[in-house]
Amino acid sequence: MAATLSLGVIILLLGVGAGAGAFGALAGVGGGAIITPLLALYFGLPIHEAIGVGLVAVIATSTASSSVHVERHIVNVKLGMILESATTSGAAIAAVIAGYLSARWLAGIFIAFLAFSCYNMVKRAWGTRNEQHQVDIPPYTPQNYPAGLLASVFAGALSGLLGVGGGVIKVPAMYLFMKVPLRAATATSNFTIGVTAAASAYVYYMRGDINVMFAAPVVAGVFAGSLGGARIAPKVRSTHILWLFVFITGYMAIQMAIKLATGKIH
Amino acid sequence: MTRALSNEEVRKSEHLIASTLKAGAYLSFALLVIGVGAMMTQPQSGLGISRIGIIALLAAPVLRILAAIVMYVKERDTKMILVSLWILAVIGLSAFAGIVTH
Repeated sequence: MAATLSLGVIILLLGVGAGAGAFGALAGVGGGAIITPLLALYFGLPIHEAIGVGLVAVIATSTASSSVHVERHIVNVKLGMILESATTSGAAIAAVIAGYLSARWLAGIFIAFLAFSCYNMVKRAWGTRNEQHQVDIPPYTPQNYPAGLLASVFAGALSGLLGVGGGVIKVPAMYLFMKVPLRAATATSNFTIGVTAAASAYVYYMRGDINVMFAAPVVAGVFAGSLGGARIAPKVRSTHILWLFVFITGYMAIQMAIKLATGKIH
Repeated sequence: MTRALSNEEVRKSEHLIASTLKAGAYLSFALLVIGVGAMMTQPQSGLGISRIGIIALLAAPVLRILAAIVMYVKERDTKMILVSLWILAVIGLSAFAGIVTH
């Protein structure tokens, strides 16, 4: 690996981060799901290090966006932290296991994850094509904690294995199983992915799997992108963002599958 | 036992959490912008500053948990204090596991 990055690569990494950050702000997903495969596929980063960068990016997205959401009191802090007791457990164990899994195995799991996310997003994008904006969150009480906690362990494990946030599991678990309104579920999920990713990130950092040279420009981009994305959010139709996410994840799933099949994952 | 909080008190408590998150984000962002900028001309210094920025970012979730504990102590919510301590324990153990499996 080169001792330094060229200016061109740094700018590209900034752009990748900004795109992912904007996505996170607009769609509530993106972050690691976009960054990790992009870095592994096109920047020549070994998959374990790509996951490390993804995790740090997730912490950035979570910290930046949830600071605003907590201020607006749409995050259910208690619910989030109760679920974090489960997600961090799953994440820490998965992060340790990931150290023993080969890049090919991780790539295979990632392809399945991308396909699953893509499919779920198709359903969500289709469902929002006529949607009105939710304004207020009605009063609610979270139900069915056992199901939520179990889903959270699984979401945490995904985070530790793949460098993603886990929101693709957490949001439906809160919304469908626990009867939390969608806007509160999304905000609470965003809140929890930071701590969840941190549980894994510490393992990766101690193991030397966080490549600061790549992580720094990506995360700087994520912060900038989140700010910009939050600013333009009122002007963007969510359905367009969601379909763009469908396209990106679908495309990357295929690219990764091709590289895996032709023996180019390391 | 949880005593009933007024809406105003809940709002103030969550404000501490929000402020902690914002401080962590701004600090990390500033360090990374400086670090990445420096990377373009003085790679070694740039990398060093960037590393500190990443460490600041990694610390932010833990600081948020500590802020939450402050909130739960004020509310005398023993259950949530224990939940918070459990999360810190898991994170601490994971860092240890990372060192050990290096």
